Amino acid sequence: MEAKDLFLRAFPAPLRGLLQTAAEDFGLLQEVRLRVGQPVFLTYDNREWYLGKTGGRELEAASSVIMTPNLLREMLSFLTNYSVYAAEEELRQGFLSLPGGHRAGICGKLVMEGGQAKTMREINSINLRVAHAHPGCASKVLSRLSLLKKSGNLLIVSPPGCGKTTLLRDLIRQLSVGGFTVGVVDERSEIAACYQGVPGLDLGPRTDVLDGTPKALGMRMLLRGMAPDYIAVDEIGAAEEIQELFTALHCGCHLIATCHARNREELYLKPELSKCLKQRCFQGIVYLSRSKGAGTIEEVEWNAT
Amino acid sequence: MLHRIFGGLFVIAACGGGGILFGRQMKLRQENLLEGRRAVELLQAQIRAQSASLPQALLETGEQTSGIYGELFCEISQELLLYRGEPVRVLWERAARKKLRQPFLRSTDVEQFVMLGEQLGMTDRAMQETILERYLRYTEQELTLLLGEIREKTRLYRNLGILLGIFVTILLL
Repeated sequence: MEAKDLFLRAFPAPLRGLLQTAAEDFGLLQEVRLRVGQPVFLTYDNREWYLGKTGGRELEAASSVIMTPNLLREMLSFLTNYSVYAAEEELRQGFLSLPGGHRAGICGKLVMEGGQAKTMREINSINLRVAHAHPGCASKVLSRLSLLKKSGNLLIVSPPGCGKTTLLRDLIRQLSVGGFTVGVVDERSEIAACYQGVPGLDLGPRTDVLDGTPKALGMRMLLRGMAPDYIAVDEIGAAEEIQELFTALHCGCHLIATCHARNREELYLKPELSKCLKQRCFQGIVYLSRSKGAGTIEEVEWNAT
Repeated sequence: MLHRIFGGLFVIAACGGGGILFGRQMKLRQENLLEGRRAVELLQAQIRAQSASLPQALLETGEQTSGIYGELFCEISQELLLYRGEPVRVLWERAARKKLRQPFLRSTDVEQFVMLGEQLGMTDRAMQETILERYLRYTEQELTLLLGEIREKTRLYRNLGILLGIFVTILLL
């Protein structure tokens, strides 16, 4: 099944037809935002549009489809494969992983029990992000990384929606194709888009994926069991993850990670990560932005201190 | 004269048979409710213990259940897996109304089953349990009532049928 079909099946029939028309070139669709009682927004070709009542992309809110509570409830059912009860763990974390690597961010009323999040109810908004594979997008970064040979730890930094995961995915694929064994800790099933155990996106022939595993635990498991040349993780930052990162580096394993930050200053404000950066754990830091579309490489910092 | 006697006997047998068949409807309803209860209990176990997705749970329950409910669950599961963008309640109701169109079932039996599908897969685990329990409670109550009715009314319908046959025969003779 095509990525487009996998994405569209998250929508109830009335919206599906409209979206199919509005996003005629699926490769340009980046996200769809749905909020109760509000117009449906599309990010298409780096611009925000309204989803028109007749299926086109509109610039006026008046001609947009308005999301009803019923449609949103139905969507949640589709997003969870008709099984909201089976997705409580993911709902608690505020996101759902979809087949094809797509991802849905969810907002609603968080139900707490004993100080812990139990589940989310009364969902009021959903943000569907389209996963796009861009084979070759990492070539420029990789050519520089290979020059570093033994000390090729790389950090990809950007705000959300700027292509960190896409770049990471292609780096993994290219390293894997190039003969390296890569272990991936895919906590949110975003990198490999595993669905029922099978990676939905190409990560190369020498890649092992630990799906749905917390990053710190996953890194430890990969180190002990899979002897990877590289470990790849998305959105690193917690203290225990940094601790495991040090362990991995001491074991002679290289690391490719991503992190949320707008720029260098913001990156160094992250307390745990800054320890790492000060010790020169990452020899390359790639900053991404959307200035010329998602995935624009703003700056590459080598041997950062 | 002999013809009249045979004719009368046939009328009595036919009316008695009609009475027995009328009583049999209750027995069939009882069997159907039992079948439905078993199927929903299996579905509940799939959801509770294995946390299976609804299409998977329905398929496995359908394969383990014989009769109308087995076919019904398999059909709904297959429909769900086509991902046509129709909500569970629509597919559930359509399949239930088609498969449960049986003369021995009361309209409340069908409505209760249709209601089960309205919330299925749409809520958290606790709510799913409540919905399934509600249907199981309904079948339990109906089965208890039916058990008493079957004992009393099966004989009553049969006897009424025979009496009706005798009455018609007397009129004809």
